[in-house]
Amino acid sequence: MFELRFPSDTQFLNMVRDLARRLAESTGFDSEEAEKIAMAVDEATTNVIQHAYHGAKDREIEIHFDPEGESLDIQILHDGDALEEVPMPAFDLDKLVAERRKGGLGIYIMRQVMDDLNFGKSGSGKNMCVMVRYKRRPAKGE
Amino acid sequence: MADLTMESEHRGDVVVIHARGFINAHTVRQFEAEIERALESGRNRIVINGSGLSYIASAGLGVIMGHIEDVRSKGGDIRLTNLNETVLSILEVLGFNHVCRVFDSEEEGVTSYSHSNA
Repeated sequence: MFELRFPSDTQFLNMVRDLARRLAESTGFDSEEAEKIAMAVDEATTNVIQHAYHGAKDREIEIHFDPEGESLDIQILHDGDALEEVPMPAFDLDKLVAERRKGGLGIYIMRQVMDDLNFGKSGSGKNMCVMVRYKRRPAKGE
Repeated sequence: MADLTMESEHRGDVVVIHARGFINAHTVRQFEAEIERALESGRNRIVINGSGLSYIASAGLGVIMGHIEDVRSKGGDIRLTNLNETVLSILEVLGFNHVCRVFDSEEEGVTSYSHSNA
């Protein structure tokens, strides 16, 4: 288990992404997969800063990386507003472009890259986002 | 090194924006401001040369997504060139490479405007 605590300031996003990438690589993911996992962590952390803490820079974000077992489990914990996965329509990029939407891509990236994505409460009562990426994805038909 | 540096140059009626560094929620306003500067000057043919770009988060793609329809309606476009493997794979995750035309080189990106209506 690896734990990271840092202020909710976007200036730390690049550092967090870099660390997530390195951790994913050390877990056995190749560099391309590790980069995508890091991207999902970046998007999830950005969501916490922007939507749970509404841009406040002095709140705390905690990330737990658990590489044991068959998957890399990543928990992103915060004390801000609860973020819940709202039912979303199927991803339609052309529609988003036509609507001139600037936001809303992050959640699709997280869903696309990770095998499991959930929102809930931690044992300590913090709000959290849990993302799981299996080390060995089942092949089609398996 | 700065998180993101942006420089624009005019090549005929095409604005080439050189982005160096990374685009995420921390730097995205800088990226958007450079695109808006080009549009406010009446130039709608934009090439973003990403040879120095290490990463683009959804915030950066959102800027392109938010402007590209308006730019196209004015006869222009936003085209990307010189992207590294990381940035290309991000575009592919979302299928963004089907929204935005991507070229290997700046030269191809700039000359593509002379072969199209945009």
